[in-house]
Amino acid sequence: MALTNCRDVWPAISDYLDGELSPALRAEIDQHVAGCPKCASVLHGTQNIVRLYRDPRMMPAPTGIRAGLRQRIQAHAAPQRGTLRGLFTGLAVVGAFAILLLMAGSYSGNETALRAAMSHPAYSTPVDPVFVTAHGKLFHRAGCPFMHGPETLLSAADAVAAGYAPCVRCMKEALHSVEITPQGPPLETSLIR
Amino acid sequence: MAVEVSERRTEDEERELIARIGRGDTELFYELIEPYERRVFAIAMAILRNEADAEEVAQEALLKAFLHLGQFRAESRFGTWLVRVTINEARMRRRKGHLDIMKALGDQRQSDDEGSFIPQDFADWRDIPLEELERKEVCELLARALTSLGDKYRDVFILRDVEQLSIEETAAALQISEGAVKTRLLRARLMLRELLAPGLGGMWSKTGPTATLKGVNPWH
Repeated sequence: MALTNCRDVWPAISDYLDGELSPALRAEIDQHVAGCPKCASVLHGTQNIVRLYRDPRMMPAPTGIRAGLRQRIQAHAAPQRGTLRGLFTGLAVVGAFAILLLMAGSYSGNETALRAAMSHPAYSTPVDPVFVTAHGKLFHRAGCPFMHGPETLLSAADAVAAGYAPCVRCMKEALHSVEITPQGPPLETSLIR
Repeated sequence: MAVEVSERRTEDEERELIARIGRGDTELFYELIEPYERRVFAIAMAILRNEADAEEVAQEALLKAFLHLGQFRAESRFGTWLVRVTINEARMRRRKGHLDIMKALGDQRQSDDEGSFIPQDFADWRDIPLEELERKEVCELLARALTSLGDKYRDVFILRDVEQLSIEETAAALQISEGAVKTRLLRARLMLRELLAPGLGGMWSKTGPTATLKGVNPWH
């Protein structure tokens, strides 16, 4: 039996091209496409897209990466006599300073301005990516009913950097991951504002 | 079980390589990244569309991988981890250049529901020869179309189609479900077809029995 509605064919086109469909559904689509020029056009055009972008000529070969990388690695490794362990130790120290600076910065008015003045800033950054919308002020979990409009997926750190604050409904843990004292959260946990 | 990660190396060998680098044999890092260099550059290039930027971001990502190799957890694959580092790095660079995260095509049209993209252009353009790729402007056009997609669609498309990772590997690299990979991939592919179809781009209008069907919706 062939599928009768084109709208049933389109959602399956990608899986069709990847060979992810059951033989039965595949046969139904073949049959539909044979008699439907529009679906044939969508299927073949999409197939063409995949073929074109998969061609190695689409992406230029990297040229000077290796030499530049070697220089940068050496620049990092030199002060620690070239051992990775030494490098990690050095990095930990630098990292600690960076965190201190960041904390200091967050209290000296250098932080990214929030997209809405009344938003409560994030006190911790969720590990999972979050959603934001173009006109929204908050970042959300997937499926949060309080998110309106086309959404963009990005890392929580990027969302915070772009001035988004956590949604109070779905991102509670980013707001209150630590005990809140009457004076506000402890200084060292307020890394991100 | 030894899983093949590249043509010449198994997962176990890779783990051993990482352990030796950790013990101080830093020169082996270049051997470790060799099979991935092209991929790192291609991902950066697809996101940034500028060779100089892509090269710098690729170096930055590889440097980060080197510096943070100690934090790399052996339960995931090095290649997958490296892809994640690269995507993050490239996105950060792009945002630094211009705050365009909201302006991508995929975010402007019907993107609330990932699975509901409806094709609107039915011109037939199956006959475009791959030789067209020899022309620089054709590659440029394809690259431009790719960068115009929203992040979430483009990332999936780059890993799955340009870099030809499996659905499972793509899901692991982007830390999303395999179902999400499939729905986003469908949308990315359909959007690109639409963007590049002869009726809209005009790029290949000379080929095939085109344009006669353009604008005809199948449900009318």
